[in-house]
Amino acid sequence: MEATASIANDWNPAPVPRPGTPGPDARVEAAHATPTPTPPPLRIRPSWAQELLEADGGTLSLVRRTGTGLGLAAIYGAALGTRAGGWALLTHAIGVPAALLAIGLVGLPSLYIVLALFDAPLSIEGAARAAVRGIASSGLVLAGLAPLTALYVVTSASGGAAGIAGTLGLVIGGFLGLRHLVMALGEALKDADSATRHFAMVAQLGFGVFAVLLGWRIWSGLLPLVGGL
Amino acid sequence: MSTMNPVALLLRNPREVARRCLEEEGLRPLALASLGAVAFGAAVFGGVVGSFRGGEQIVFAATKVPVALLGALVICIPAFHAIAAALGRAWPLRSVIALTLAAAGRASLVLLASAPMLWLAYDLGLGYHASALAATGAYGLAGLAALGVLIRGLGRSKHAFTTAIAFVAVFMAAAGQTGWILRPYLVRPQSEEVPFLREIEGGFADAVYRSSRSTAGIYDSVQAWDPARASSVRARR
Repeated sequence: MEATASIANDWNPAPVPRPGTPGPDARVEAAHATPTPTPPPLRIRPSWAQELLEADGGTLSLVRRTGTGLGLAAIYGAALGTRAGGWALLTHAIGVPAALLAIGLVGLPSLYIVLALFDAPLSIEGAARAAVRGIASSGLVLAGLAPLTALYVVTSASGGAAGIAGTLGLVIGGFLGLRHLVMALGEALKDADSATRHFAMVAQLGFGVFAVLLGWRIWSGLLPLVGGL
Repeated sequence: MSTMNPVALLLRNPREVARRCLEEEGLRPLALASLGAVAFGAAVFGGVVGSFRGGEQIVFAATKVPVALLGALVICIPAFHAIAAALGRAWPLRSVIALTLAAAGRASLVLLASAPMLWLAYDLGLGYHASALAATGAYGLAGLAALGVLIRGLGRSKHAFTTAIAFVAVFMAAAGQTGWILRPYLVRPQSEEVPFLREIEGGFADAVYRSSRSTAGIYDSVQAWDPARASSVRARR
């Protein structure tokens, strides 16, 4: 009986580890384990597209990149014109970049004025850079989609189907361009206070709706394939 | 740098393949192996599909499947390059070409592997629709193998999933239309004449267009075999 009491008094159980706590063996293993080597970052050569979409650059670079973006968008326009051929190639090649240019020239100054009214820290250069980035991005995506669109436009049996294919490309190119533009504006406004940033977000949303409507108005007015002229 | 044979590398180590493509390292042997795999693997698969009918269709399909695949790649590459750049991966065009070619090469090797099983199934009397389904399944497996290379190339950074989805959508759109233009591949054995190419008769975009009009209650064509439906359409108009 005495022995039993002695055992009961001396009994000192090992502490039960709480769930999620590594045991002593695991801690020893962790102490001796070599850290998992992280793979070295990939050494990818800077590309032409990277240069086209970069946020910085002087006036000459901005002008050059705007021209390149509009030229790339014209390639998509020419792809849309392949269904009818002849003058349609030129009409579409002018019509597609026209909407991008109009959004940049008409819409962005309005957005700049609205943001400036609320003292948002966006310079004219910053707004211009955002516009250039949007146009370049849109042009790049449209030019990339041009071969696929030309395939559909030329081989679709009905004009309506060709129109759907062409419109889909315009929507994707326009959306990605708008996304880049808004991102660039967001970067320019990152130092603003919280209230200004929130207001800027609402203003950008309004600008986005305006850009979509204006773009569609111009494309549907100028491009015969999507119901224009 | 791994000294593995490029074909073995395509099959066993898609991560290394993607790394080489993006870092432009040892691209020549990899590109040649990928091109060879596309030409040979897709031709063998096409020949097996054509063997369902037999005769000249074996040669026709063996010619058309690699052409359709390579045609789709040519159309996809500019779109891949542009979409990747717009979503934060402004890779050089050379890298995009290599990555796409490697993915297609890996897919073609899977097609090559599935060809004997498909041939055996045909030989054991698989029906027309089941054969079409089996060939589609093989394409699906090949697509997954190709996706393995592309996903490793895209990595785990921002917008990788969106970019992968966009790549798949673009490839399916391009391959769907090039494949449609170059059909038929699978022809019933009873067919007496086998055309190298059929009339275009629409395509993916036409199907979407027709469906959207049908949804709006506009039917462009009425099937002659169903007079009840034809009269109901006329009444609705």
